Amino acid sequence: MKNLVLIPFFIGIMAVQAQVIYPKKGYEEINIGITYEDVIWILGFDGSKINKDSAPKMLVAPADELGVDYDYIVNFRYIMDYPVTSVYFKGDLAVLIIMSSYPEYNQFICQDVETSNGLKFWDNLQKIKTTFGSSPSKLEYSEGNLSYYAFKKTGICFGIDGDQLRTVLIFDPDFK
Amino acid sequence: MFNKNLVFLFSVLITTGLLSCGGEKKQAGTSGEFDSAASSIQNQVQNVLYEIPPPSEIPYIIQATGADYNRDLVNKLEKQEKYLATQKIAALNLGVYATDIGYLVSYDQVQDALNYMKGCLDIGENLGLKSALDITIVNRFQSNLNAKDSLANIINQVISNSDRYLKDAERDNIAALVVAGTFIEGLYLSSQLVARYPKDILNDQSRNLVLTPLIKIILDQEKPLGDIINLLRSIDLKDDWIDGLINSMDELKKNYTELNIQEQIRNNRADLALSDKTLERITIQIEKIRTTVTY
Repeated sequence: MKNLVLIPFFIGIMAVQAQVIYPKKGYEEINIGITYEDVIWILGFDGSKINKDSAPKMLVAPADELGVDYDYIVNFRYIMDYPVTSVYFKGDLAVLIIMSSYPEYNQFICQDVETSNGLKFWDNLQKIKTTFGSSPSKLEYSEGNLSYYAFKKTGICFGIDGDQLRTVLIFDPDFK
Repeated sequence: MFNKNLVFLFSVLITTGLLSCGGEKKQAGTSGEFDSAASSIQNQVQNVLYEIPPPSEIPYIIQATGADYNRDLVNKLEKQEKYLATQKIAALNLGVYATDIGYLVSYDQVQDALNYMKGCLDIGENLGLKSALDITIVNRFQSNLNAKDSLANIINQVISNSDRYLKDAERDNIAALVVAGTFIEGLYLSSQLVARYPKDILNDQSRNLVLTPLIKIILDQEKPLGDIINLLRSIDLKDDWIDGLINSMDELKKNYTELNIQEQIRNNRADLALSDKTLERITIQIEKIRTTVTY
């Protein structure tokens, strides 16, 4: 845990460099399988916890569609240096990470975020297909203008709004 | 050398200049309710300004610890252009840069300080403060670097000239955000110094002794932090950014509360309260807030 103390001191230096999303694994130090304590330490904020039973449909539906089992969700609505908006936990372990370019304060940061194979926020669906394959499974659920395109075996899902990538969901289909 | 109060005055003049723009405020159709709210924000800004350490004070305390100058600590001036696109970001970073000027002058980085001051003027112009923060002020600032009284007079003149700009609630919003930016950068610089202070030169006790004045200033920011949160809640600008900033500052305040500083001091456990270990969480949070504000 104490090693995590050092992380923020490097973040400032890294701030203008690309931050990388790894499908099935995570984003920077926020990885599938790390504990709640580590998540809030890395992000710097406690977030607000929502039990599965009382979570709104917009948070429940994508996880259900992706087959991610979880007990509670922690939402992060802060000015912080990672555009992570929600982390889902099973027991004490992170099982689904949502990143979003919707909050205005995340938009500059999201411009410097990309997947390990070069896909970026605001890229279009065609670019997604070019980068991740031509047959994503389009989820039934949509929230407003947001439609989800999932690559379930790859462990990544993209929320598309007006042909632009606006949210990224990271999970590990094999994580138990 | 610069007078250390100069930088504080510069920062104050930005906000005081904004707050003093009341000449055309009572216009036909302006409600009493609006006047009351605006007046409340002005009072809050002024209260906070007098509670938080002057932007120049923290850098001087930093310097007194013997820490080497670290240019990486100040926000890069070249990012200024990007900030101009969004008024609230520009206002926050005007406060950030004003504090950075304090850090630069405390280490005699005169040319950089002047560059940053010019940068502040550009942002000020973008925010509608052009006439108050004229380039001639910078030139006079430059030619009076050693003359405390002259510098004070320049500042006074700027303040007295800054009475004609930004006629509505926009002005109060900007003032509040400038103060918030000043606070964030001051706390960032202080906490980074503590975090980065060499651990292999002095033993823990001596190290804490050197850092105690700075740590104490950090710990003393609990009340100003609460006031800034209230100030941000009062402003007439509600969006993702402001809400996120308030949420972040709220949680920072929660950590201050958990430190229970006054209680520890009352129980003669000031050693615990003043240990830089207790500041780790605050350090992380303020760095994250500052990283996003200055991104």
